[in-house]
Amino acid sequence: MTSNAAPRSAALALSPVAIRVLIILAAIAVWEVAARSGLFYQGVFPSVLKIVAALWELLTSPDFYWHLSVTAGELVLAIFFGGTVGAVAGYVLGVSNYLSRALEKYVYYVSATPKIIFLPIVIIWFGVDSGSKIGLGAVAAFFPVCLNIASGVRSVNPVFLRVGAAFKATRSQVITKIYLPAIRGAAINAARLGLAVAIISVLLAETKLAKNGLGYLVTQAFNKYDMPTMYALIFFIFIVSVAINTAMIRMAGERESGSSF
Amino acid sequence: MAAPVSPSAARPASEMIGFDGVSVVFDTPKGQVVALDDVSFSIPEGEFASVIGPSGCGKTTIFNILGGFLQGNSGEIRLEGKPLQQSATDVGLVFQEDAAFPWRSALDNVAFPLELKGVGKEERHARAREFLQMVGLSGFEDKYPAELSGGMRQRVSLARTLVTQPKVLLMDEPFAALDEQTRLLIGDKITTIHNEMKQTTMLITHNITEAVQLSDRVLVMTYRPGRIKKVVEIDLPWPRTSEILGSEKFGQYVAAIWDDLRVEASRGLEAQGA
Ligand SMILES: Nc1ncnc2c1ncn2[C@@H]1O[C@H](COP(=O)(O)OP(=O)(O)O)[C@@H](O)[C@H]1O
Ligand SMILES: [Mg+2]
Repeated sequence: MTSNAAPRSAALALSPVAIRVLIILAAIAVWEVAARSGLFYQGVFPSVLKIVAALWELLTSPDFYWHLSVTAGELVLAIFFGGTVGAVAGYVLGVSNYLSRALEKYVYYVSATPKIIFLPIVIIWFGVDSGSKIGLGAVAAFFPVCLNIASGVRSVNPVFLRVGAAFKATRSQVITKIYLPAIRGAAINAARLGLAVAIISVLLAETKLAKNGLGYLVTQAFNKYDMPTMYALIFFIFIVSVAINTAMIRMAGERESGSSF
Repeated sequence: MAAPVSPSAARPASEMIGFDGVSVVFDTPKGQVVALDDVSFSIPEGEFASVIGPSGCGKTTIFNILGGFLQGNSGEIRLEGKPLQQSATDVGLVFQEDAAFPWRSALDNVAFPLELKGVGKEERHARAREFLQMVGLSGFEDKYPAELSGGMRQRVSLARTLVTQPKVLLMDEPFAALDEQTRLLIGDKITTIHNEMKQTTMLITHNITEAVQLSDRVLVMTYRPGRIKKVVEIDLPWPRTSEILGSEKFGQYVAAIWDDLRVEASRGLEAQGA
């Protein structure tokens, strides 16, 4: 009937989920073949079984959870400080045409530079311990939060603001009852992007100068040439990041009825 | 049938809205646009007045001035006898645009102004329910704007403004985007509400039938500069039943206003086509 009613071959009958699972299985198989082929320097591709064993060992050791909590704590504070300052700055740029034209280009340019170059500065300011990790994460989170909130604020339908003015809403009422719900999707998106870059910056900082945290564990495993543990850590970080990201995309997508304008 | 009563006779003739020589000039890249030129009119308390004119003639400018969004270049605007700036008269606004908050249910949309004033949840929901019923939206309390038709959303906006029980109600082409049947039905609702609440109402429209159907008086505007060309008092009995809408007199009012508007509309058409 229609053009997409192509004859169904066996391959096309697979559901998208099945294809995704197959890709993962294939990747594991390729990895395992590479591990056992002997073509690579020993240990570069540790056997999947070894990685699973290392992961199990990590997940059952209290030490790992201590490092995990350090990183998680740094991240929470980084996104809190960077997010708060970024949201306020974004709101100000969003409502003020004048400030936006004067300053937003700078925010935009700096946002495109790798934040790791600020590491020496944050170390001088906040010390070599958690302070510098939080600082770097906060700096990283600031930019996407600021820019996304600013553009969210600008995209609010002006008639909603006129409704607020007509009912004599105070400024704080306009912010909490109009701007905030109107830009809910943009705000969650801003938090998601902020968190993503904060994770990168915190972990990167932990690999440089640190005595604890997941980044430190990765470096330690690398220095000890403990490849299974290193891959297990990377796998763990990857899964957690993807899970957080997916959860926030789901949240942002909920009741996006604001898209009618 | 009840004996026809002329509303203007039953209502006190004290002025609610007054414009005296109001002019508004916009500076645009293409030069100055005189949106309003020496506009004067007076609307008595409790009356229902319509402002009609081709698009671009300055109707929204009048709305924006009364809503406090814009200041005139000259002239005086009065509310209940006081200059607009010093007036404490509550003015309720219904905008031309779709202005129901998409993130709030119909009930919470209507409760919004009460929420701003700190009215408790139970009371504001009770009152919001009452006003949703008034605009004929009982049963739609929990629906979100995306689940409602354009006409329903506009009625939510209307209820949200009415819930504050303003002394003056201004509506800027609230039903322009609706189909004819919906508009006729909402017109009946508007008349009922006006009879009940007696708020002084100014309806901005470009629909002649609507203006004659709903109004005690119709202000006809000219196109560029925006002036009041004529004020037509509609001396038809209330309620404006379908019988009255089909009457000869009703048709005469419509024809007379169209005569005045035709010239303006064609000038507007030429100006905007050029
Ligand atoms: N902010 C503005 N800047 C410049 N010109 C404007 C502005 N607002 C309205 N105008 C012009 O003033 C005239 C009247 O506009 P408006 O009151 O919106 O007309 P209407 O509501 O009757 O369609 C129009 O010609 C319009 O182009
Ligand atoms: Mg208009």
